[in-house]
Amino acid sequence: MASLRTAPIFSLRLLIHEPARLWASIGGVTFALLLMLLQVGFRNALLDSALQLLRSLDADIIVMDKEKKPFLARVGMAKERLYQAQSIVGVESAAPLWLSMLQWKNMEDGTVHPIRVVGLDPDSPTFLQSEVNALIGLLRQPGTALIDSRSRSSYGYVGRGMAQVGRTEIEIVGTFPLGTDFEVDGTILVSEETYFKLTKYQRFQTHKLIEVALLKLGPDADEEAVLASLAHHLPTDAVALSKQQLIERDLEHWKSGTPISVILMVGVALGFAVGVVICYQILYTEVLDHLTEFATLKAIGYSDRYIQIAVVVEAWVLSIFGFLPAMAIGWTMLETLRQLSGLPAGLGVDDAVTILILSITMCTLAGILALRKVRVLDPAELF
Amino acid sequence: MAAGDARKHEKAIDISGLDYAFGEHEARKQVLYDIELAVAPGEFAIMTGPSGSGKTTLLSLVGALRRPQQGRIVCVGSDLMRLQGVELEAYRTGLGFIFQLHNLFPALTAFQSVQMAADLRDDLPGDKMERIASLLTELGLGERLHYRPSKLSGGQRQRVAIARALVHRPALVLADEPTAALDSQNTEIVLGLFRRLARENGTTVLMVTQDARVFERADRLVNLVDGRIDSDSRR
Repeated sequence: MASLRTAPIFSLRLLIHEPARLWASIGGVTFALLLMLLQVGFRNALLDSALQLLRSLDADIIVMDKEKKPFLARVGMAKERLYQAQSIVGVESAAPLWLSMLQWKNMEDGTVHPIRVVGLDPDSPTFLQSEVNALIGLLRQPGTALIDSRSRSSYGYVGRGMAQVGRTEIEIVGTFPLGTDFEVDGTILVSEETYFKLTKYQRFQTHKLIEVALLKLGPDADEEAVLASLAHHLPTDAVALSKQQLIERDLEHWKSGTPISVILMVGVALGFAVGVVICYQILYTEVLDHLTEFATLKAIGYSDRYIQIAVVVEAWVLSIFGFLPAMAIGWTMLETLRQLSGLPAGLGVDDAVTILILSITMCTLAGILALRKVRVLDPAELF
Repeated sequence: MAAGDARKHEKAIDISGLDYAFGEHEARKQVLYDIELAVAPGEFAIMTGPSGSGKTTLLSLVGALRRPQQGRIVCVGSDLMRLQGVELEAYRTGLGFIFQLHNLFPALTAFQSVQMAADLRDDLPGDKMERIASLLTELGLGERLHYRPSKLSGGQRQRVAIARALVHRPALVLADEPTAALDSQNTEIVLGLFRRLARENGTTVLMVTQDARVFERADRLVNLVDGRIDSDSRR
């Protein structure tokens, strides 16, 4: 019986025999994987950017209007809910948060760009970032703001100094790192007083409404019990979720509830399909060019399985050697995108593993399709 | 089927009442009619005849590359009417095929091509690598062991293909015009090898050829005409 152990060596010999063809094949696989990698990177940018504000909040439980979904959607809630939540046993502190969208004026070229305005209580724990906590006291001075140092360059100069937000001039007194998202190019943090000064021209803006209430629990508090108590005591127009629950709910919303996420997933699927076609063409040509030789192998006693293993190993080698440059190029392109746009476009280890599995699957599928020709190969035609 | 056991069968090839046709219904064309042929172990038989007489079809039937339709065909102890799957592969592994075209992989050196055939057998006596090198050297390719087909002449490629067929000392060699691309000197070398394998190993050779240089070296000359054995002479 033919030793199947020698099939991978045979396969490698076939592959490296023609370096030009090998490089072209690896290039084809790399291209297809790059398509997928970039879509995954863009999707990560969408998900991470949409969640970065929520993730940076210093809260165990968040109370908000039941219609508010996702977190970045602006749906006000009666401020009374903040006090009601604060009275629940186990809640140590409750801080209000306001969210609005205004226009930032680029003082260098006069253009205006959307900016997210986050109002907070400078005396309550609101953000996890040490940069914010170090400077938050400065916001007690009305008309001051902290600005996201990762804001897009379209804002012009971002740093200490005077700026115009909406129709109002404010003083930027410091920066903190956050990042842009698909809705805005940056964020400023202001006190409650400054927030209402900036948004006074907006309709429905009233001191009776807040966006969310951020709850911190006491050291001995049971989160489940507090959530149950909140659900029992709060009116039905409000909902309380742990921060983790809210992150998971938002993640699900952005993953499956938004057209852009679906489009990006379709992009990954298209990349996969393109990859199968490219890889199939490569392997099919390889099989076709060696058809009589494969028939000879079958004639002298090699099994179909041996040839199948040889072709599938070729597919795997291509998938792995295509994956490595695709990762390097993809990472570089996404890093460049991150620099240019401020979006947290990037790839995690889990993404790399997923793409590698997709790559191997893609090439294996193409190899199996290419092998149809070998299966019907009749060695009798050799004589 | 282990190498070196070719003599244990009374007949290397035993064919009786063999018919074969291509196509079906209106397209059916019969190419072999009631073939009766018995070849002894160690015999060197040549099949000759005009083009389209059925020689190659008969060769492919003996090699189990085609499935017999009617009649009886037993080769080196295997009933080819019943062979399938792993047994079919094992049967083919025990044969030595020499095709008209060398069909060598461009990526493999002469040594690696022969090794592909040797790797099929775990029961080869002695050092496998030494055997391959020695056989290729005997066929005048000692200086070309690690050359790929693109660096070999047509005759050299054909000799690599012959080495591939003989490396495992098969019980039965099936050859289709193996000497067509060889000069007289190399033809003599190859025929000498067949002879030696027949003598030492009991290997049976069934060769299709029109090469008159070979006829006188054969034990037997079988002439096929229009799918029937027209003459069968021992020399």
